[in-house]
Amino acid sequence: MTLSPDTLQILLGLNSLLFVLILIILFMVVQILRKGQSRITPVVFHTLLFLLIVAGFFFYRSVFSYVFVSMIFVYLLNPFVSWFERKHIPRWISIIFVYLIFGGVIAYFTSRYIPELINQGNSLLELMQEDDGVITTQIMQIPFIRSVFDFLESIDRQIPMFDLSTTFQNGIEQAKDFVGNLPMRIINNYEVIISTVSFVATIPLISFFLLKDGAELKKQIMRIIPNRYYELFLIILNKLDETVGMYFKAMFFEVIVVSILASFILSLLGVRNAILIGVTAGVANIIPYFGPFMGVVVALFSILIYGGPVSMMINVIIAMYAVQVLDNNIIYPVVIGKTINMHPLIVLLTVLAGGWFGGILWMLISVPLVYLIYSVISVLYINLKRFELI
Amino acid sequence: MKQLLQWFRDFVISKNKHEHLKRFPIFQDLSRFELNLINNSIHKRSYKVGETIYEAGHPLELVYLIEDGEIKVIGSLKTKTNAILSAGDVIGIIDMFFESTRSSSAIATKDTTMFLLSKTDLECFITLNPKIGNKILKNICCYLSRVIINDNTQNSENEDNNRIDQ
Repeated sequence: MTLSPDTLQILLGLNSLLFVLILIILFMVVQILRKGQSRITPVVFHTLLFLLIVAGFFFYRSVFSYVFVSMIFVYLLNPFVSWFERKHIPRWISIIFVYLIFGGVIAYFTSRYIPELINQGNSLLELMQEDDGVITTQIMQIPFIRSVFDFLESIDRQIPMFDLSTTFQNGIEQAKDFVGNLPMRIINNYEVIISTVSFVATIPLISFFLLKDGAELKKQIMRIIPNRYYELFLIILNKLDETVGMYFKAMFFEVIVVSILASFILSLLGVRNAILIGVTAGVANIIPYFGPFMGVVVALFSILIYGGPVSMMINVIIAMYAVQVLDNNIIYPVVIGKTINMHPLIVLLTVLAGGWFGGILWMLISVPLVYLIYSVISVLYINLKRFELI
Repeated sequence: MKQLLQWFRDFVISKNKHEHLKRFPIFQDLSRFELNLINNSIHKRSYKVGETIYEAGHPLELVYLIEDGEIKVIGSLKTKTNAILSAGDVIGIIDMFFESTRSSSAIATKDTTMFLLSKTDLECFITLNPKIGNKILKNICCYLSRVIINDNTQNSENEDNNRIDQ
């Protein structure tokens, strides 16, 4: 039997670790035998405990992500389970109810719309990846862009040194490349998503136990907190749940609702790739103030590419505006009750910084992340101050 | 067959593990099911002799239900009840509704076990379960009125001896 260098290395590492452990145990035993109770014994015991914890982390490291995702799941589903429980239904049966309902809804929507979504993504991809010359000329055929191009050309004729029309053409080419790469990236990631089906399959199982015994488990974990800090800890936990938890729940809910509403309205208006655009608009809604505009821009861009009429563009703008009005004035206040107060300037700067830091993904993540850090720090500061700890 | 049914009932409906909560006036008439629900937001802690439980001036978040042991309350008390509290007593329930900081400190004078109930959790529980919340609020009112009546009789006794209170 041959061992690969990697396995060999791990085995050697484990051996040396075991060797060190045995040495420490021997040392401790000798100490205890010699003096009964010595000063070194607690130190050795705590070192051993620490080593054991490190070994535990090493052993369980692969499942941390599972537990983390399950915890998010549990956090979102817990209100529903508690609702059933309050109707005198035993908790484990309530969990199964909630699973069945949510599983059914998700299964219905995925089987109904995901293939459509992938189709739309693919068709857009094919369009973008066609021979470069063809697609650029195709874009140039669009009436609106044509007129702009003509206008720029006429300027060029009068003032030759600007060379605006070539710049314009290059700009369109670049924009097209950018948009062309976007679905490509999504589809590449989609393969990754499929490869993690096992990951997805285990999460409901972990979530089940966390949902069932979560409260008891939480109390057990909180036992390690010293009495002195217990009240402080509970206050911080409650406050964070009130602000951050609410914000993330609201975000999750909004993305879903806006995606569905926008897809529905856009497909009613006959826009092509309606579901893809709707979902994009929903996800863009994570960014406060500016997200909705991005959704509109994507929709208009799609109409431009397929050469839709101007009246459709106006309809889309009105429809997306209606979705936002509905979301901000009816859905959001009823479901969440209060909005976060982050200044538009800070949001803008955060989104820009996120974009420079790590592209589109970070543009979406940065605002919630900054809000999270800001709330944690402010809650900590206020309460530590009140407890005279800082 | 009957035994089997009984066994099944015991299996499905967990036994009443929270009977000990019933000794406190605010939970006295809750059913097994209701105690089970409120138990999710009750934390059990133990304190050693001489350990500070809370200090004056700190934020008020927790209501303490003493299960076992003895506690000494130092500083101004809203009510003129005894400054030594023991098993079955409740601390913080009066201040809970209108104060956000502690007006007194408390120290354990014996090894003490207590149930802690967060103010936010309790309010949340009451809004989510209006029926049970109604019961709990009624119990709290009963408790408070009893405290006030006791307080008044004590006051009148004081007035007989020496007129300090106004």
